[in-house]
Amino acid sequence: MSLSQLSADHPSAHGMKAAKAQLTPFRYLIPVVTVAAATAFTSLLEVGSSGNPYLFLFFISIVVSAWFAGPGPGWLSVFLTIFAVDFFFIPPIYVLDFSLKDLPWLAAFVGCAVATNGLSLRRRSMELELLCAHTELEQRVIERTQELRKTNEKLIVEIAERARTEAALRDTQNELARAGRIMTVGELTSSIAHEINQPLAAVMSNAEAALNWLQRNPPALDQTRESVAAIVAAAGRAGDIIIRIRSLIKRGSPDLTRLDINEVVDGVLVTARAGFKTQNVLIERRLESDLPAMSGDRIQLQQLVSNLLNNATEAMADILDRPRKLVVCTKRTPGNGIAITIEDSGAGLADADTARLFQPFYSTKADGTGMGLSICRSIAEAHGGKIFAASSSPYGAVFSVELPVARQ
Amino acid sequence: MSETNSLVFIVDDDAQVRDSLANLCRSVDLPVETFSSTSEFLRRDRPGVPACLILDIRFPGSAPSGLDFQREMVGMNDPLPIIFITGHGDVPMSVQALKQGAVEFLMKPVREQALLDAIRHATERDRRRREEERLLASVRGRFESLTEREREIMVLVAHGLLNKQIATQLGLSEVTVKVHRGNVMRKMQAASLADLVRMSDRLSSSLRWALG
Repeated sequence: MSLSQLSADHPSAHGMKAAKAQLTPFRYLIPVVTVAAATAFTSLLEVGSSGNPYLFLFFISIVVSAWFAGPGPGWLSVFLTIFAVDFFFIPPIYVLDFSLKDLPWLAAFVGCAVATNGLSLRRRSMELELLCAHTELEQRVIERTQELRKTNEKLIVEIAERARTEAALRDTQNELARAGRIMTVGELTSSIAHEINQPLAAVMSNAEAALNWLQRNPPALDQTRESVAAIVAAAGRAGDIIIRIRSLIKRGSPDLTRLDINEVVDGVLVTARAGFKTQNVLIERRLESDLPAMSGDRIQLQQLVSNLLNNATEAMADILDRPRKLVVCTKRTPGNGIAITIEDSGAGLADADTARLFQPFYSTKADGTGMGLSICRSIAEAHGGKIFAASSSPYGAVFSVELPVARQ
Repeated sequence: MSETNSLVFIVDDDAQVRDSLANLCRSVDLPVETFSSTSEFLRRDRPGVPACLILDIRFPGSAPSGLDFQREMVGMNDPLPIIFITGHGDVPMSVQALKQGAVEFLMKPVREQALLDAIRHATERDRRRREEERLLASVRGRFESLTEREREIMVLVAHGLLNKQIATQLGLSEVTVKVHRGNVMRKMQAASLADLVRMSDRLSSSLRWALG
């Protein structure tokens, strides 16, 4: 049995000690057998030889005993060797006696035997230590590997757990968003009720006033006429609100004609001019000439531009420390379309807003209905186009609408 | 109509609503002034006639709500009666407004009779308040014309003490007390003892008000 086998079969120091304990009854056989073998071989070599006996075979028996069986058997082999040499090979043979002249020789032989045994034992103990250290190291590596494996498993479990939690969170967020939408519908209803109630209130009061004016003697016809005119205006406003709501709800296909987008934009700018003046808004008009014709619904596109202009003007209502400026552009896009951009110098957009701006019922204004931009998106999409919003630097927001040009 | 010497203020940011209410008031000969914002209204001097304010409870937009403005007026000790106009779903706001001393609520759209009744009620309340203030001012003026001794005697008389008791308490002769008492009645223009007691009550309650 070899050391390497030992280490392979018994990976732990404990295991090796146990192995040694198992071997104990046989260990002491090793010196007996090896010394007997050395004696036998030496006897064979003695035949036909004269002079001093070949005693080196005994060193092999010492080395083997010390190396493979440990200190006890080692020393036993030294003792047996000395006995065997004295008994069998030193004259007078077959007695445990020697002549004085052989004493130095015998002493040198015993010294060599002891030294061989000592060195072998030392070497063996070093090997064993090394083996122990090695085994320990392997043991530690195995332990660490197991630890790592456990940690890894735990990590996998945690990752799965986390994924579950995230999924749950997403569900909750969706729920909340849905609940939020339902709530906004409620808010919208109340907002619409308020919006329509205003002109309705005006109609009612003016009508009652008209009756009072008529009942006078003589009837106050001028005041009556004014009251009725006010009723007409208020009723018109209520009608506009209804149209706005309906245009949000129904997405009818647009009434397409070939048109020049610059003409549409100019038309809106002309009607809005008075409003810009009272709001102190400067308009910069940068319309690219020779734009290709596009096919679209004139009324809807006018509403789109008008909504964006209103929106931009309202966004600048609180701006006092810099000019209120609107830049209106039209230009060709790289993808063979037409873009309308409207840039304001207002407060700009919050990131959270840009994502939701075009959703119905979403408004950043305290009294907004959340319909204006949603209508813009509906119109842009009905024309096969897109609408974007972004903050521009150093302040303000840019809204751009991209529309396809007419096919030939 | 008795309201000819009164004034109605209307504050609303919605021009159509504001003008229609003003038109209705004018059609029954009620003098009206309109304002598009509360700050514009605050710049106007308080009128010399009984008045009231018609205000939308939820002032939409960035301006403070009607409720906030009412609170502001209470804080400024402005006693002008307020008539609130409310839409649907404003019950909690309306309760709050009532607690803060609003005169009336009118549901939008407002009916003529309800509006005119509310205006009459509010201006009447303002008239009474003004009258009370005027009376108090004149009583206080008369009281201030009394001498220190006369004031002492007026307080004791109002507490129901007899001349003899007053004389003992102040260490005066009964005749002297009688003379002072006559002066008090004359200077205070009190027709009777009961009249004098009422004046004394009015003075002491206004004092309590002033002291909080």
